[in-house]
Amino acid sequence: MAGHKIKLQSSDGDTFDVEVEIAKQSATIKTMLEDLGMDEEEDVIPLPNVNSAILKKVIQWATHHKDDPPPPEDDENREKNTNDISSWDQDFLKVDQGTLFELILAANYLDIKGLLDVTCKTVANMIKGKTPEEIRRTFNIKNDFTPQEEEQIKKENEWCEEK
Amino acid sequence: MYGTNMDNINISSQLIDTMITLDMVTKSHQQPPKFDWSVDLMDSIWYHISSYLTINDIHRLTRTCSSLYTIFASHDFWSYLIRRQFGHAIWQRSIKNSLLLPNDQKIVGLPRRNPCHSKLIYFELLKRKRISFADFNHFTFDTNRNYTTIVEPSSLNGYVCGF
Repeated sequence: MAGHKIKLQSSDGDTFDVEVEIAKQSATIKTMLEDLGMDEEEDVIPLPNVNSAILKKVIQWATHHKDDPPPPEDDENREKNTNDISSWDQDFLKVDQGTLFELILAANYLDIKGLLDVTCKTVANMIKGKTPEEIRRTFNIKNDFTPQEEEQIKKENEWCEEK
Repeated sequence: MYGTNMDNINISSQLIDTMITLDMVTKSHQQPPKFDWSVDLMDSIWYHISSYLTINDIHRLTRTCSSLYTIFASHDFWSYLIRRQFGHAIWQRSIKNSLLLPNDQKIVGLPRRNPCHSKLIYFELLKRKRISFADFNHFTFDTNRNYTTIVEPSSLNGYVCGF
């Protein structure tokens, strides 16, 4: 049913009209619609874990990707690379760190595999090749190790480091 | 009558002014949300991010702080990595039934503080894969995402599939 819309309500009470087919990229919403029979236009789906700003971004992402083929199931044995982020997604994810963080949580809660993959890839790219101190600075992580403990962990890992 | 209305209007506008001031005070005290990614991100999302990282990147993450150390040096994480990289059948035999490494003494050159059991198994599997699983990468998934059987004389017990 092309054009059929549902209403999504953010945690701060704003309501967004979204085409069903776009909203169904979220497995969480898809399940709600199918299992609970919530397919009437008047029905409002509350999303208490997502605020308006983030829900707006998620809808923007899902709208752009509405014609994508369904993402492949995880092939555990496939080497995963992070260089295949489309330029649209790269631009879309040029956001402050707080927004990126909340997008990951929203993608996880709404179970949107494509969005979770691309946000996690972006985070992985921010980690790759960095020293522990650089990672801490990037992600606002507090170092609670003594220098001795950090050295000890470094030694622990030496036997299996990739050369 | 007129005066009273004006008074009411004045009181109302004062009230609004006070509310706006209060709101501004509240907002000025609100720091932009700063997340400590190491604590605030769920383990499962860190696992997802790790699928795009190398072992060395993961080791550097363990050196940033105790929360990430706890996540990435845990039995659960390395057990997950075995399942992801080698598949359910190998995971079942090596971790659940613990057929590999009946004792940790089999691996030489261990650091003083031993890594978790599943991490040892992961690297043992990696080593065996490099040595004898020349065809290991050639197995495929059938439609149910189970492994299709490949009889491989050099593999564990002569077969790869456990389903």
